[in-house]
Amino acid sequence: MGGEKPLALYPGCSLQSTGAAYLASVHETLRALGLRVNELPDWNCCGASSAHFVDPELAVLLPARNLAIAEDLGADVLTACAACHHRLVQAEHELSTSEAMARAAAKQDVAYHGGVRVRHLLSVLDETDLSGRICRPLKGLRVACYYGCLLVRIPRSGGIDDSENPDIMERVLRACGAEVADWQGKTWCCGASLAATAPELAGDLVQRILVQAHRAGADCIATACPLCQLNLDLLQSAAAERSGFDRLLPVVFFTQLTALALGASPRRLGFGKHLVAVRPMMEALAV
Amino acid sequence: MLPREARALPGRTDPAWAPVIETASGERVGLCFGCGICTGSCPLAPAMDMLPSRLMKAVQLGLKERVLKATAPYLCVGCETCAVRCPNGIDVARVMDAVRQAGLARGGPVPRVDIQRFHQWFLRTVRLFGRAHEGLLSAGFSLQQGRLREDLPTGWALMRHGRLALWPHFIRRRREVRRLFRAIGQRGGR
Ligand code: SF4
Ligand code: SF4
Repeated sequence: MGGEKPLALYPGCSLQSTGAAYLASVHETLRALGLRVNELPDWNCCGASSAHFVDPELAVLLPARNLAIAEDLGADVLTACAACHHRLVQAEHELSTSEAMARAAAKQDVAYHGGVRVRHLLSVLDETDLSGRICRPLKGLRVACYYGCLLVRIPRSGGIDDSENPDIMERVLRACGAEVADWQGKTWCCGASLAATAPELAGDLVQRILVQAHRAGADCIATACPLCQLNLDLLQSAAAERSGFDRLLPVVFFTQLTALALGASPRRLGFGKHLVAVRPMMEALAV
Repeated sequence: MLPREARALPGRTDPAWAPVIETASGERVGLCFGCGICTGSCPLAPAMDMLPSRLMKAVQLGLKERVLKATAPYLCVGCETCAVRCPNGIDVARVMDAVRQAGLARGGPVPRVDIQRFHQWFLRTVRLFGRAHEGLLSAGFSLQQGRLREDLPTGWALMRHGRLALWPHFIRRRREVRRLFRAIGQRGGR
């Protein structure tokens, strides 16, 4: 599983509500692989886009408290949410490169001294040999892997893969037997953080992404971000109406696909929570 | 010829401001040579009243008042497309952050108060529970903006699909999180 330290899962707030299907399928994927990962105890919100909206220190200190808990446990942090991953990696970088920031943390009794690695589940799966474990190959399913912004663009520390043309989700889903679409738009921003305040802008960005996924003949869009998932799911029917699409594209978490391929029961993967129905996709897969 | 921002406000420059923003952002704004790649990459540029590359120039020139009035730093979603592409390695998103934070810290009218309120509601739930609570955030924001009626269908759709957790998740040591908010004082909102 890479590294000797145990991993502690940092689910993040979205995975406890709007992104509950993500958390369920993360657990099912880990379980199917026989990976025992405990949740980071008493974790707090990473601050998401809101902490750095108002204050540079809050943006680092909120994630820092989680890093300190992991350090105390002797664990590395496993993330699933793209936004949390971004904030935790960014905070780790700032705490280990800026003395002022390290001092600010110490002053608030956040005892982080460095050395905790923040790993995204995609990286862990990419390093895991999945061959021989796939009991339900995703044959014939054409997936548009959608990364969005936060997972691949962390300036200075680096995202989980290339920032212009990442391929890591494609590798994982190909190993699960899926076909992956070659498409533009996989790292375009969906504008989720403006969905409440400037819905017309978020709607345009969502539409732009959907147009490309349709052009590439995708059956579904797979994401690693609960905010992207919600945004693409929620704004899709309006976007489809404007573009005249003849069908809607299910927006799934990549872990729902890995869990399916690894043999998990679809009933445990939260598919009922999707606004765009996943049934056509499941029928095509004969699940 | 001076850029449009400079012409619009002759003499209103504060050359001492650029270094202030450089220190706050940790970015070397002076390295920007105005190639426009950030603007060309920015998904929100079409909606911005001051394009990212122009904002960089305006900061260099010290057009403080003009920059602090811009809505661009409020529309910036921190997607970092500009940052990974800037040939001079400038993280423009951090400059946007620094400019917005400077404006908020100074007080006075906020160019996009709705966006500020949204983030304040988010942080309010984090301060209360230790974790964000999407239900309270949406309801609080919607009420404050007087748009409960427009937003209800979305909330209902999410509820029907079992996607809104009504009860917040409290962490045990909330005091530690509150302390972090106290450390930044009024900047976190109330
Ligand atoms: S990409 Fe960099 S150098 Fe080019 S205009 Fe933007 S900030 Fe300046
Ligand atoms: S981080 Fe902000 S300025 Fe940069 S490309 Fe994204 S929205 Fe535009």
